[in-house]
Amino acid sequence: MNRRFRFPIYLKISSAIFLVILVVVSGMSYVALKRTAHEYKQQVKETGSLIAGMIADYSIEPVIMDNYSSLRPVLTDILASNEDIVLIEVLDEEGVPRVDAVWQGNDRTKESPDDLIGKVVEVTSPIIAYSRTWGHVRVVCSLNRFHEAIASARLSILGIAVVSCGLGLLMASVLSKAILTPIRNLVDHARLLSKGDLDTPINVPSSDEIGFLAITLEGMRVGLRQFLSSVARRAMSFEGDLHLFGFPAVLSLTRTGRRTGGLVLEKSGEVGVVYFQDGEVVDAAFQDKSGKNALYEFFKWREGVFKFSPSLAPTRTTINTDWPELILEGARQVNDIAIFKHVIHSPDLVPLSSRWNDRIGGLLDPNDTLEHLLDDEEKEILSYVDGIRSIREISRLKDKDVYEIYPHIYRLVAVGLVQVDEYESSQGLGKDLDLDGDRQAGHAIDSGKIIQFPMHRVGDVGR
Amino acid sequence: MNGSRHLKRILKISRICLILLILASCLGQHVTGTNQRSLVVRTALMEPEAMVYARAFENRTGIKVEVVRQSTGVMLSFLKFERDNAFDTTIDVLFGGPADAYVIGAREGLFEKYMSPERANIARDHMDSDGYWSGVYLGSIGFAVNPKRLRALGLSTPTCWKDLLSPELRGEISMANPVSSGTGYTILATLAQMMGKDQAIEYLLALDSNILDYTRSGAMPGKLVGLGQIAVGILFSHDVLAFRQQGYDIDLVFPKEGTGFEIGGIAIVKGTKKLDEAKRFVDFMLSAEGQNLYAAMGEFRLPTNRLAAIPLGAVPFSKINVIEYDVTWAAVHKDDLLEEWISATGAAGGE
Repeated sequence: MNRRFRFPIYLKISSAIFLVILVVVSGMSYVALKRTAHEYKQQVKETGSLIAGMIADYSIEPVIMDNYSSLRPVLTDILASNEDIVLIEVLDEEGVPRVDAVWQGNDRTKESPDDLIGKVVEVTSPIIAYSRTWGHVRVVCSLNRFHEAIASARLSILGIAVVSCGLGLLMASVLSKAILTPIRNLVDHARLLSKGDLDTPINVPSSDEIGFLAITLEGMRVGLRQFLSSVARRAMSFEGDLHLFGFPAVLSLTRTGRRTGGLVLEKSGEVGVVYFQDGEVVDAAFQDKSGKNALYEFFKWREGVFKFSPSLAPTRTTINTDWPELILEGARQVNDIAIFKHVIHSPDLVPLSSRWNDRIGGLLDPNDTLEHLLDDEEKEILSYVDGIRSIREISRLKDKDVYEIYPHIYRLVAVGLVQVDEYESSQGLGKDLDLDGDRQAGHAIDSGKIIQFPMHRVGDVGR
Repeated sequence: MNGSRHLKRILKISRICLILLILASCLGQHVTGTNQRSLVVRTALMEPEAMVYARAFENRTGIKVEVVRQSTGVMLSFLKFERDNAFDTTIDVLFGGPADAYVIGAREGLFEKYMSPERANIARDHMDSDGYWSGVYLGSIGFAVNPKRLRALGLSTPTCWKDLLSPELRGEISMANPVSSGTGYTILATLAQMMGKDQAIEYLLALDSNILDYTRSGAMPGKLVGLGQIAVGILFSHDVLAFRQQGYDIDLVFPKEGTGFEIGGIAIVKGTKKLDEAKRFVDFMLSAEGQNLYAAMGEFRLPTNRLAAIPLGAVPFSKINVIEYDVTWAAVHKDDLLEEWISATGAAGGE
C-alpha cells in the first residue's frame, strides 16, 4: 500500500477554484481601489479648487488693501470645517505668502511641506479683480484619511479573502471526504471482488450516485456469487446420460477427477451407486448385489442417467482390484451390440492407439504393463490398430464379421488403450473436464474453463 | 415690503458671517492659548497702518498685540453676536472706525467704561461723556479723483456732490457699502444730515447708477482710483492723502456743499480678560505720543489730542466746509437709513 499522502482531486479542484476566486477578487478589488483612489483624488482636487476659488473671491479686497489679517479668521474657520485641508495660504502677486500659512491643528512642526509630497493634493486659485491678478490662494488637501480608509479596506478585503479561502478549503475537504469515503469503500469492495471474495456484502450508505453504484455492485456480487455457486455445484456433482457417454467413460471421468463420493446410476426406477475414494472405485451397490458384481451390472446397462454426488462418501471397501483390470473385467461382461454401438458409432471409424496419442496423458501407461491383461485376441486386434485402418478393415484382415470385432474394440477403448474418433470427441469433452484434475481442486472453480464447460449441455441431455 | 425683505436678507447674511467669524475666533483663541494670548485689537484701520501703532505700543509696553482688520459694521455685529450668545469675548479692544458704531456699542452695553487720564486733552465733542468710548482721530469725507482717467474721459474734476450724478461718470465711481463699512455709513449719514433723509436716499439712488462697486472696506475706492480702475472714489480724506503719499496718481477734492466727518473711536470690549493691557493700549492711542505717530508715519488723520502734532499735509476742519455732523443722530438712525438705502439701491453688503 502506498503510504504517501495523496491530495484528493476534489481538494485540488476546490483549491484551484478558490485560488482563482482569490486572484480575481483581489484583482478586482485592487482595480476598484485604484479607481476609487483616482476618483477621490479628483474629488479632493475639485473640492480644493472650489474652496480656493471661494477664498480667492473673498480675498480680493483684503489682498488689494493689504488687509491680510482679516483673512486669517476666515481661513482658520474653513480649515476647521474641513479635515482634509491641511494648509491654506494666500500669496501676493509676487508669490510671497502674506497670510501666515494656516495649518490644520496649527501643527506646523509635525510635517513640513516636503514630507507631505505624495500624501497631498495641492491646488491654487488666482485672485483676479479689475483685470489684474493680485495673488494666489494655495490650498493643500491631505489624502491621509483616504489612505487610511484604503488601507483598512485593503485589510478587510484580505481578511475576507483569507476567511473565505479557509472556509472554502474546509468545505472542500469535508465535501471531498464525503464523496471520497464511499468511493474508497467501493474501491476496497471492488478490490475484494477482484480477489475473489464474493462473501463480503457491499454496504456503502450513500443516497447519491455513489450509493446507486454500490447497490449495482452489490447486485453484481450477488449475481456472480449465485452463478459461481451454481457452476461450482454442477462442477462438484456432474450428471448426465449413459446413452451419451457410456459407463466406462463415466467411470473414467470420475476417476480422472480423483473424486470422492458416490456415482448414482438410475435406470427405469432402479438405482445403484458406485463409490469412489480419491478416484478409485472402492465399493458398488445395486439391488442386493455389492462389490464387483454390482459394478459389473452397470456395464450391461444400455441406458440410464448418472449423477455424481460428493456427499455420498464411501463407508466400506469391497473392491480392491486395480483400475485397468477392473474396467477390462467389466467390459468383458458386456455382450450387447447396442452398448458397443454407443461407443463405436460406425464400423468405418479409425481406432487410434493411445500410445501415440498424447491427449490420453498419463492415465494409462502405454507400455506392456497393460497388455498382459489382454487375451490373445485382444492383443491381436490391438496390433492392427495403426491409426489408418478402420474397424471394418481390421475385421477383413481378421477375416471376421465386423460385429465380432466390436467387443474387442470396446474393451480396448474402455481400458483406454484405444480410442475411436467419435469417442475421442466425447473424450475431448471429458478431457476438458479432466483439466480439473490437472489443477488443484479448490482453484478449479475459478478457472475460466469451468465457466465454458458445456455441462449444461450434458445436463440438458440428462434432464 | 421690498426693503424689509432686503434687510432680512442682509441680517441673514450677516448672521452667517458672524457665526463663521465666531467659530474662527474661538479656534484662534484655542490656538493662541488663553493664558499666553496677545491683546486682540480689532481695527477698521488699514492693516499696515494699524500694525505700526500696535508695534509701537509693543515696543513701549512689552504687551503683545494681535491686530485683525475688520470693517466697523462687522466688528460691531460680531461683538453683539458674542454677547447675545454669552460667549467669552475674543476681542479686547475696538480701534478706529466712525464713532456712530461706538455710540451704538455703548448703548448696547458692549463696552467697558474707562475714563482714561488722556481724555483731559481731548475735546468733549470727540468722546463719550460716560467714558465708554473716546475719539482717537478725526477725518473728513472727500472725493478721490484720478486726473488721468478724468482727462481720458474728457471730464472735469467733480467739485460737489451733484457733479457725481453726471451720466458721463457711469461706472466710474466707487464708495464703501454703508452696511458693512463705517466709511460708507458716514457718507450716508452725512448726506442725510445735509439734505434730509429722503433727499439723501434719492440722491444715492441717482448715484447708484454711476457706482461700479460698493466695496467692503472704506479705503478701497481710493486704491481703485489710484490704480486707474475708476475715476472717482468717495472716502475719508486722510485715506486719499495716504494713497497719494504712496505714489498713486490721485487728487483730493472736498465737495463744495459741505462734508461730514468721522470721529475715529476706541473702546474696551466688556468682559475682556485683558482689561489692564486694554486700558494701557487705549491710553497709548489717546496720548499725544500715540497720536503723534500719525504725522510720524505719514498718515493724514487729525489727532483728537490737542497736544499731538497735526500731520503735515493733513487738511484741518477749519479749511473746509465741514457740517455739524451729529454722531448720535447717525447712530440712532442707522437701521432706518440702511434699510431705506438698501430698498432704494437694491444693494446688500456685509462680509
